[in-house]
Amino acid sequence: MSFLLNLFRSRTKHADITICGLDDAGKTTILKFLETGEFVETTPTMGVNRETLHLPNLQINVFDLAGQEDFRNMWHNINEKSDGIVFVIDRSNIMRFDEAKDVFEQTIHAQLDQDLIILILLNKSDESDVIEKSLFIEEFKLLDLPFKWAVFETSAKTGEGIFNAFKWFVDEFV
Amino acid sequence: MKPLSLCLINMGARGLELVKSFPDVIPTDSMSQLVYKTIPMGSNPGDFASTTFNDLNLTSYIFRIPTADQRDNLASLVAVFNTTDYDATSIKQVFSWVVTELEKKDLLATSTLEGILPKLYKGFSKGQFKIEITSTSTIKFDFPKQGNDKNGNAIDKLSDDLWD
Repeated sequence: MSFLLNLFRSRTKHADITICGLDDAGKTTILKFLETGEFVETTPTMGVNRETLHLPNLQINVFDLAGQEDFRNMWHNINEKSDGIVFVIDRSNIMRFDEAKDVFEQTIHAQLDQDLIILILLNKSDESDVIEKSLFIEEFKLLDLPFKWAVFETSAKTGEGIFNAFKWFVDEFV
Repeated sequence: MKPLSLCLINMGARGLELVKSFPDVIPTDSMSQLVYKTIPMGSNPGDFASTTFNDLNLTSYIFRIPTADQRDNLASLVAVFNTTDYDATSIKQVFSWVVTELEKKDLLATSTLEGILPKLYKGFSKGQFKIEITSTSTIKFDFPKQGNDKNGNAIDKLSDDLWD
């Protein structure tokens, strides 16, 4: 019996990922959408939410980090143990675009693991007046990143793009 | 069961922040640390927290509060004592009841809680309170007697809907 358990365990991979981004970008809402398949109203995250997603042959421990400035100094400690980072941006909030860019650069430059996988979500795609994906890639200098990355346009309200984004992300781990 | 102070904390742009304390007797440097003790890491709406900090004892109720044109915010009502001789269960019952009653009457808002904090404080001293929130809406509460039905449900003891 223990042999079978060990065999099963050996076939199930584990990955730790973190979800970062400015406050009110939609990080927890995206995580809730992944768990429930529907839009769930959330409140600001107090520090960190930890959830586990069980997928076939893959168990993902998700650390959903609070985006307020006071909490950002703890991101690095959690990110450095992560196999992948999901960075969420509210693409409709042009006013905080520069702040999001600064935080993204700080987050990425603090990473030492060259095998890190980065998923960037342009969230709130259901809103009007959003930044274009191509402009975003240029402004955030993503083509210069030394990591494997991808950008997806998502909406945690409608579910647009979320499953495709995480399918790409998960496929990188299995 | 008179607290040293009652506080209302919520999540601001940078992190947790004090909205109001009554009476305003806690030093600013202590308050900046205290706010982070009242809503522990990973806590969610509906949670209670009790902790000690320096020589202060805190009991808080964490809840969701509607915010105009934005998502609901995270907030806490906090009773601060300079003694351990208080009934934390009663504090929890009072706070959760106040929030539930205001929510039922569609009056749960930061401004409402700020406004009733002084009356709530006086109520803790008297063991009961009656607060007129608007000209047509009043809430009343009688604290359970200490040592008697400590674990009882305060809501069973409440007056019913108290619209004037």
